[in-house]
Amino acid sequence: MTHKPPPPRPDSPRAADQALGSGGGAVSSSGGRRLSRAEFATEFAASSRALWCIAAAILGDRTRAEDVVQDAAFAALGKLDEFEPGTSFLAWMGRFVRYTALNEARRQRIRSVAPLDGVDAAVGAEPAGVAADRAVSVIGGLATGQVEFDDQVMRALRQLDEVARACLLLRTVHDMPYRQIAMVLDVPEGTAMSHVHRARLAMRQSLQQSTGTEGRSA
Amino acid sequence: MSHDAHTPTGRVPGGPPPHQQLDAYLDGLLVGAELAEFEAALASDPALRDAVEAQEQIDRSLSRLFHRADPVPLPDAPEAAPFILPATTPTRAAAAPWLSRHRWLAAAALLVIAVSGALIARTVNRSEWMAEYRGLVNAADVYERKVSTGFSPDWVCKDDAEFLENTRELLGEEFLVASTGDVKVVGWSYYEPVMSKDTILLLTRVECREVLLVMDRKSKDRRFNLPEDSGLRDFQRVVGDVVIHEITPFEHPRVLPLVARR
Repeated sequence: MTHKPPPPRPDSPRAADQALGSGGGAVSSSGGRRLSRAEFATEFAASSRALWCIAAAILGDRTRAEDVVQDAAFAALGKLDEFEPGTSFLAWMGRFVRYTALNEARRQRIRSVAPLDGVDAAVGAEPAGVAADRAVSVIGGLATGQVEFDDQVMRALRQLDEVARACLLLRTVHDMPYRQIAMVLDVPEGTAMSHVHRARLAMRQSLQQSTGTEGRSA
Repeated sequence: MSHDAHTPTGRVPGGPPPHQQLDAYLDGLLVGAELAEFEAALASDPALRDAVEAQEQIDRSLSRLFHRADPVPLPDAPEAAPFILPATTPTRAAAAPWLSRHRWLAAAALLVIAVSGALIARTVNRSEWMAEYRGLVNAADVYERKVSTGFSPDWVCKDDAEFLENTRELLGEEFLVASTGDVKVVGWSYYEPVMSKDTILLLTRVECREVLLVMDRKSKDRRFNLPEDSGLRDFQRVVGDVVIHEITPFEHPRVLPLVARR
């Protein structure tokens, strides 16, 4: 049994000081005054890759993530006076991105847009010289043909709920500490860890099943 | 949840098997003896090795799919008025003649929008949707997550005095929850934004079944729309300035009646 006082809330300034590493979220450098638009642009540029990842995770679709992040930026610019200097810009901006992405995801569900087949167009250049390997071999029980495997990974990822996807991607793609993930997504740190644990397990199980099915039909 | 000061992961030496250390290994959190033990298990356990290799393959795929080389650009805007539309955009004067010619069409469109909105509002769980919009979580989801992760508390008060101190500091009210033969207080859990960012949870067990108390300031209270298939019920009680919800699989509240205000 532990006997200790409750920890600081994930989004408290004390937690923000403890959580942020050298390459992590951008803390306002305004030193107490309102963030200027130029400073907003600088902070946004530093945080936008992670914000894009959050949007893509919530939407389950990379192609609309950029629009969502830009819409969120517009919304945030209208509320610059609500940003508290000294707190995490990434956590603050993350809220706008989450709301905008959730709204867009709901609009898509109401319109009953069918999920994209296959792998979405990759953002960012493919490494030069990488050939699409259609041959499927198996290591660790999973297919290693890159394009087909990525397709399976996307399908498995879409089976997760939005917050779990976001936690998993921030941890895997951005190597973000759990405490920072908790701040950005406004969930407790333990919750973020649970999400990543269950998401990893679910992805492995889903992909094992996919490979097993392909193996039987090959 | 216990935290061993000597092991960052809180694992008791000789505790959980290596498969349960997989995430810690992937996150680079294993050190010293724990790391050596896990690596030894990797060498001797093909299933564990397969799981690690599979996860590393998945992680590489996710990095390929979700790595973004360039930052997201902010939309172009006139330098003089950044992010504000210039005054020369089409004005209402240009659109007015069209509207005045087609007033009937505009009225019909408004009627369709109003009816559609009413239908959508009936079918969408509006209060949970609005709650989600505000970044809040569903109490049923929190309950299920807590149960699935062992219903372990994040901290436990050592005595009534500490319990009262905690409730006073966190909620502004002093109260106790009596433990009886059937009802056991398990401990407190991290802030879960069920009603607000300050919501806290008290984990209890009643006849060995998990019952969750969700607490916050009365001003933050909201209706919980628990899914019908969750098998859970929500009971509420106000204690001074604090609202307490009992999220329970039982037909009647079992813990709320035991809450005593100091």
